[in-house]
Amino acid sequence: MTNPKAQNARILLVDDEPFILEVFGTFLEEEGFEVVLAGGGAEALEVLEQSEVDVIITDLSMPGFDGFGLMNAVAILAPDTPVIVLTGMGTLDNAISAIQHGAYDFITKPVEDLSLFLVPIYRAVEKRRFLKTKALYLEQIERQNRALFRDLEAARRIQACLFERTGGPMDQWLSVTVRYQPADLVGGDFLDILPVDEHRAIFYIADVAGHGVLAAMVTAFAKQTLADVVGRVIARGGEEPSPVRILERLNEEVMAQGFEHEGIPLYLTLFLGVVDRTTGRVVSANGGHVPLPRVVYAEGGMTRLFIKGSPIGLVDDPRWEETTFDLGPGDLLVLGTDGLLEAFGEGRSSLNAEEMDHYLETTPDRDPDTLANGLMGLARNRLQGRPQADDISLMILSLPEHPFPVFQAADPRPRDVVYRSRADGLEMVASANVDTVEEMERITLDFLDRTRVEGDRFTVRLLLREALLNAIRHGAGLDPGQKIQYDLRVRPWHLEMRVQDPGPGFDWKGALASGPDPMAVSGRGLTILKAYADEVIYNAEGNQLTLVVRRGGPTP
Amino acid sequence: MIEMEEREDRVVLRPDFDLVAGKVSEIREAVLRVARRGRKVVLVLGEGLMIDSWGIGVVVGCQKTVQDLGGALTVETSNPSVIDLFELLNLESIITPIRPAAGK
Repeated sequence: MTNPKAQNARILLVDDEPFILEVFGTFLEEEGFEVVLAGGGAEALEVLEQSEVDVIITDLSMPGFDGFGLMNAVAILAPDTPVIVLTGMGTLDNAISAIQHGAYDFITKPVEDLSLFLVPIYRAVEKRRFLKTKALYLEQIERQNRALFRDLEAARRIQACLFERTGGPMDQWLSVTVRYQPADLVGGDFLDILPVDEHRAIFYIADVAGHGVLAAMVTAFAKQTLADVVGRVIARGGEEPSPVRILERLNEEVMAQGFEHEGIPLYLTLFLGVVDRTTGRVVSANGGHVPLPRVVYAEGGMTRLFIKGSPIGLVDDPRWEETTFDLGPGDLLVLGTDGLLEAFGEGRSSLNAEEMDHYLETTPDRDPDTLANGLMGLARNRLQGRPQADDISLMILSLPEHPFPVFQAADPRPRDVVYRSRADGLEMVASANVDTVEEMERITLDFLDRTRVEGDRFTVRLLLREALLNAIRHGAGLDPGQKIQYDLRVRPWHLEMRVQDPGPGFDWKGALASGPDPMAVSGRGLTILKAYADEVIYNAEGNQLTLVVRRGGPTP
Repeated sequence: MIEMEEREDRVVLRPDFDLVAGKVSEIREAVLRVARRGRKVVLVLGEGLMIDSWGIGVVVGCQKTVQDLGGALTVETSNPSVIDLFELLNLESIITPIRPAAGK
């Protein structure tokens, strides 16, 4: 009767003695093994090259290709196949040497009790089965790993898409610098800028807590949900896009999903703001996002905006507050994710990244690209070969041009004046002179309409007209190619104008002191402004004039 | 390692590691073990130890579970960065600022 344990086990029996092959071969077949016979090492090798066996039993001393040679070949051809050596009595040294060469076991000839002969064979069969199963598992794991790796690569590519911005009219007036350095695992950073209308845009930077596929999935959900929420707010029209309301609605959606991993909530942090190009004003709310936003001023210095707020999807009683701050021309709003802090904090989270702040405060170059490259380079240096545990994302926003256009008097000879709003690419050239007041007014109003100025339109109009008037008047004294430049900034309650006049100069103080005659050409605009505004502050130094006009609101 | 100290009505847990991604499951298990016994839990984040966004998630997640079990969880720390972080996230109710130990 055959032994079930022998079933499906294939044994290669190798011996140069036909008698041994016949006796042992028959015995093993009766036991239930499938037996393949080989009369020497070379013949055994042919068998192994053509098919697989589970155990090899071989004599050591054979003419030509002996047992040791066969073992060397098996180690290369079928390293997982156990080899049992047959050795004669009194040649124990050979058996030990065979074990040292990698044999699994040995059997001494002659075999007195054939049943004892089976013990090492069954053990070898078991080992072979174990090794085959292990190899199968390993292959399966490797296959799954390859599939997982492909999925992660796909997820990483999808995640990179989350950094593709929506685009819109704000691309004409908002400078956006983005840097992204993904961690080894897919992470949870994302950002975007969405248009509200011609002069406002919503921007945000967000980070889902944790890493890996789960975080990436929450990221995709959050980005889509946020786009929907913002889209609904904008589509409603008439309603001011409130950052707090957007955070509230996003929080409701995320809480409703109840994302978690082993009892740990999968939440996100988010800083979101609405920037208005005409005023440089940013209305914002912080959904527990760190690092805190930094404003790096064009004139030098930096402020960290400590804006409190609950993360999104974490607590049942979230609180947010709307915070307003101003971005002046050339000021940079620096936003990042906590991977940046971890890089600076030696793998730890930290609210104060003093080194980062020091860099932002002291770097003289205020160009956003240079600053972004500098920060990312610094972060990479700080990592010093440590594995990057989290994505590092950086977004720098700025209104590089003045929120309101820069006016330049063109070549003065033909007395043309260019009104140029570099922010929205609008340019107007008008031929005018001081005598055609109506034409001047028409140009001014047309320009105002086309740049969609809101706020104190009348004051802006006065200043524009005065700029035009002065450009024409001064143009007569300029050399060809010289230009007078008027920089105007519109704030909610006041206007600032800076005039650079390379010509013979203008006695602004004297003009203003000359009397309140509104028709006087010299200082006419200033006089009108003084009558109209609550306060007019001006400072004339050589060919430069700074003018601040306030009407309503608090004292600046 | 997490040092555990039994006080009258609460159990104080003092991990000797940062509460950051990859290290926090041990904390969660320890907190829940104590909470299941109906005890209040005080998690002490020692001086110099930090917490990241994942750690915050674990603390808030644990707090909810502990409350469901009828208990309470607070975090004690003297680390000003951690205190600032909890304040920034409107999570002041969880954190108890403590003075650094004398001589440190």
